[in-house]
Amino acid sequence: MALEAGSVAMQEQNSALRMKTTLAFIASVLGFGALFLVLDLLLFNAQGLSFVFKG
Amino acid sequence: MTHRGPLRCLPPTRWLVPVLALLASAALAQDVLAAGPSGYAPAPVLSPGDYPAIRGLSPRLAVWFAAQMHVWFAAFVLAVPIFAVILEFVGVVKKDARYDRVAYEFLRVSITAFSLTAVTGGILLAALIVFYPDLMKYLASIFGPTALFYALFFFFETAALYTYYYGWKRMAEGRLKLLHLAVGIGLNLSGTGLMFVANAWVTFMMTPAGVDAAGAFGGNVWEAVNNHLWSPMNLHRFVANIAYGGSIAGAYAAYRFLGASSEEGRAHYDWMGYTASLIAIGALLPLPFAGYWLTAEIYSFSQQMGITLMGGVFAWLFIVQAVIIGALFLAANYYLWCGFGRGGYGAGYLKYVKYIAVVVAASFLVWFTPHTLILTPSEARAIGGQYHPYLGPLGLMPAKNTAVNMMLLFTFLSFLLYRRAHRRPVVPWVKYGNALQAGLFTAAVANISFLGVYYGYFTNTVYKVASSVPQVATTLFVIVACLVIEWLMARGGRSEDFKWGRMPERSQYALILIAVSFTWLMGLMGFVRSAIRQHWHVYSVMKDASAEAFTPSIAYAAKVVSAGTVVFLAIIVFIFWLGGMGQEKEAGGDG
Repeated sequence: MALEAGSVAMQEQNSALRMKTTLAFIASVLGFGALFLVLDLLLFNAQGLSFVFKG
Repeated sequence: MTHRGPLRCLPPTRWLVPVLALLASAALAQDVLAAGPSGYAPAPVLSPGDYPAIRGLSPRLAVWFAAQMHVWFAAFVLAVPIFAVILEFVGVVKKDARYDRVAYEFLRVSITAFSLTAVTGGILLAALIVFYPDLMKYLASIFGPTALFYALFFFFETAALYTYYYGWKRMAEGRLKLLHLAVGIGLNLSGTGLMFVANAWVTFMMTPAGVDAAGAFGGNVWEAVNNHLWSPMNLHRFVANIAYGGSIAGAYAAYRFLGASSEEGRAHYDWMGYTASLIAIGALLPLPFAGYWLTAEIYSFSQQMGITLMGGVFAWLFIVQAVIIGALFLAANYYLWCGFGRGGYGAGYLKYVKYIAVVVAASFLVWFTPHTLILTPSEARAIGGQYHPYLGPLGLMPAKNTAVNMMLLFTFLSFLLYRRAHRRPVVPWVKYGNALQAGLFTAAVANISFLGVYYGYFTNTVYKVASSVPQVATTLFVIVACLVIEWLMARGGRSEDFKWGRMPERSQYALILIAVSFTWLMGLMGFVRSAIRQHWHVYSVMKDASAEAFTPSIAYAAKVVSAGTVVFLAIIVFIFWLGGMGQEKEAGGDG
């Protein structure tokens, strides 16, 4: 009985960790994605171009 | 081993060439100076009769072959002392004798090549004076004073080389070791100076400066030296030489690994091969940026020359370049994947290899997809034009820039996994660290793809070119950020030493492939750089009036360069064999 409870607790713990890791991955994609967009903007500006192409 | 005084052991080839160069240059310069009342005559206008002919011998081919051999050997012998000094320094700092041993062995391999560099340099000089006397007179009238620097650098380099090599074991401890390192640095400074002087002559022929429209020299030698291409060429050749030297030294290690009979020997040459290939690939990564600067300066000097380079018939050689560099990256990745076996944790990462292989192979295919196809009329009708309806867009630069960045990113990923093969991080936030790195790679792939697709296909040319800058910046950011995260995660982690020598034999052929690819690539792209002068000896000021003043076909150029590659590599194998014999003799003597 105690063994079963331990196993369930471990499964819950693993599931929580997986959830947190997935969230960390999503946050880092969004965070680095935003950082790269800022970097793009600065590098286009440094070349005398606007980041948004206006035809 | 026999130790001899540095001066007594100088072979005649080491001092004869600079003396001849100096004398020839002084004699030719005097001749020209006497010709004009103001001291500097305009560039001569030649006719076919001004070129001496030797029956059955093509002057262009003779000079081309000699120059190519000289440049290959020179690149090797300029590079090896650079990383020999670096490895010796690391050995002193880390107090690890392995670095010292490998540095000495690298240098020993290159020592025969030094004499061959001088011999091929002498042959090149003789061929130029015999077949192109008027061109040499004109160049000597401008660059006469620089020949003195060339000779001085040559003497310093030679003296430093022999002191550095023969003094290695005598200057092994204490202050003498530091003095030995200083001699090594002096050797590199004089070798690099030597190359810079020769680069001035070569680049002047492409982008002349300090002369008027008729080619009359204004008298300022520095102006002629510091022409448009001098600095970018210096940087490009300096970095490329390191990559090339690393690749040849890696091939030597592979050759010795394959012939090693003991476990200790295999371990030693495995480590040597890994170190050399790391240097080669490490120097290869920044090379496109130096190449970008060089090309930008070519365009800045003459748009016509730039268009001939990238948009004309020579563009096909860039496709060949893509194939060779792609093969080089595949070989480097394969070598790293084989290296997973050296570490205790490597097996766990093998499952990722197939995904990396798919990305690297796909990028390789995109990189060498040509834009304009060579088609028969019926083939063109069948696909509805000169461009392939689906693959045509992949022939444009935005697709290639995207592919190259992907290839760099995923090669770096192979390297990260290779390092993890012997190191297990134990910090409490390991899972988050991995998620952070995965997120960084995902965002970078998305950003590089966005920049390539949107700006490459839905904007104008200015944006297409400009978007390559943030693409490269993204790749560099990922490399730096991942290394920082990796370093933080590795603190206090469990690591076990790599089991050197635990590599399959086939992995060593990847190292040999890298050396062959580099050699071929240098020959082909060197031809392109030189050939964009077209029918000019000195672009726009001195015409080539010889019977061979035309651009040869790509097929002919490829045959000449390939034949040169085979001859050069055959000599290199002979040098490896000699190096092995020297080591056996030394081991016997010492032991």
